[in-house]
Amino acid sequence: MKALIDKVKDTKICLSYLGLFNDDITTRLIAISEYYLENKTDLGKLKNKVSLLIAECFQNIIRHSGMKDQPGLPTDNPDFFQLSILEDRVVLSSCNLIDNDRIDALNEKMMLVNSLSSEELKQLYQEVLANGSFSEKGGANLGLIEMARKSGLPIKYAFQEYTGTQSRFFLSLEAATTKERISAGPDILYHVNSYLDLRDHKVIMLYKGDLSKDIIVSLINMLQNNFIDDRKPSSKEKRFMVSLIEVLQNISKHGKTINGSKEGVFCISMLKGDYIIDSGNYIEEASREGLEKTLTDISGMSAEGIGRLYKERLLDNVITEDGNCGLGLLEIAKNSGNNFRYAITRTPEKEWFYTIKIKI
Amino acid sequence: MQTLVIPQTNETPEIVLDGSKGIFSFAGKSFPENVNDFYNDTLKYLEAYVLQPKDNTTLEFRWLYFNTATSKMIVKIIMLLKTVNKSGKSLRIQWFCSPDDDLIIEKGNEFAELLGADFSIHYL
Repeated sequence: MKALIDKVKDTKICLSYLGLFNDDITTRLIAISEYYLENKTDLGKLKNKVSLLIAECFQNIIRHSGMKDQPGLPTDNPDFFQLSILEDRVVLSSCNLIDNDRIDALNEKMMLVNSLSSEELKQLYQEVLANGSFSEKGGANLGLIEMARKSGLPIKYAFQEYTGTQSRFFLSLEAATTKERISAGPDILYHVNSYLDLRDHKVIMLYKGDLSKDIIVSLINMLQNNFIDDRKPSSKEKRFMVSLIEVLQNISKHGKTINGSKEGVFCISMLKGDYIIDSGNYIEEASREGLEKTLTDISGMSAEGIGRLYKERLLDNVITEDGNCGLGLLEIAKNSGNNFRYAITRTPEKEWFYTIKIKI
Repeated sequence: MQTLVIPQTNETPEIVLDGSKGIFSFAGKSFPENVNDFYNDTLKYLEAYVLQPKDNTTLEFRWLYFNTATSKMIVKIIMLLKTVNKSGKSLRIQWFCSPDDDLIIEKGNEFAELLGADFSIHYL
């Protein structure tokens, strides 16, 4: 996971998602984006623009997806969406499959919208709105024009052959506070490689950023959508969700607040039928020793010992004011068959960083 | 007592507390950020109920899943309702789940073992 996280270390927030795509996921992602832009950055005025771009980008993916074997399970070719919030701009990127016979027409449309000024894009938008399409230019759709208009910056894109009949279509949009029509975000190849890396690691979600209450509820609901809402979840999927909730709520409650945020990272992947949860967050110096002792004690216990202690704690009637109950790590140990690894390390900034990797 | 209905959300269960019949049911997911805040109204309602309980009280659970803090709240609710036994009244706990849901079955068995109440698991 470290290699994947290192790639996004310069972003304030980066959410990569390779799971199920539907309208509910769009809503959750917009909620995360709006919360973050409004509360954690100086980019609040980009909020509505970014929300519209996310909606357009998702509609594009949803329209063309349907290639997945089963919801929630990573395929060899998942659809992809990434939201990155940098110092002065927001970058959205996506990948979905398209039929090869659409590539030439789409390429033409992309070149056209990228060549037009904002005034020309407005005219084109009105023309297409009035006529349904602008046939002489190859029938560009409103969504694409809208993306170009809202972004105000050139759209980056690339095609990558997948099979004899289909290709991956990569798209990257930016929203920036600058008036200049020059893109300063990463090159499209960066997004292509980012996607391939995540896909190869069977990642469903990779997140770096604030993990306070509002954000984690949206993230949990995004993942829940993959496993729970559309079909009957298996017991393994439930154990995964329960463990993930414990991990994230633990960060939200006990993670160290730095610059007003509970900074953390987590990655959900699926390898050979097992769910892998990797997470990392800063902790307070005062809680380090206690946490380390708890982790050491639990990791040295047998399944019976864990079960016994769990039952003892269940009956101790202790729920702190903030809702903490001292069972989270035991629940994780139970659900994973005590299959977790952890580390607490000192960062160059002299902060304590706690990581845990759980296999379910 | 007037029935209290707390609708389901993405993080919290549907709760129906019918004190006039002595039937209390919980269904769905439960992982509120703070269980104390979320279950406060429920506990208050049940505290009032146990002062004048019905002859037969039934507690029904239909969980999708829940966090550990909710586990402790379930213990609290069961312990509270068990006080009706002191006045010779009955408490029946019904735990509904799918036969292949070993997580929720395991949880039900833990509560049954620990709380020693009239606790039965029903497969849907």
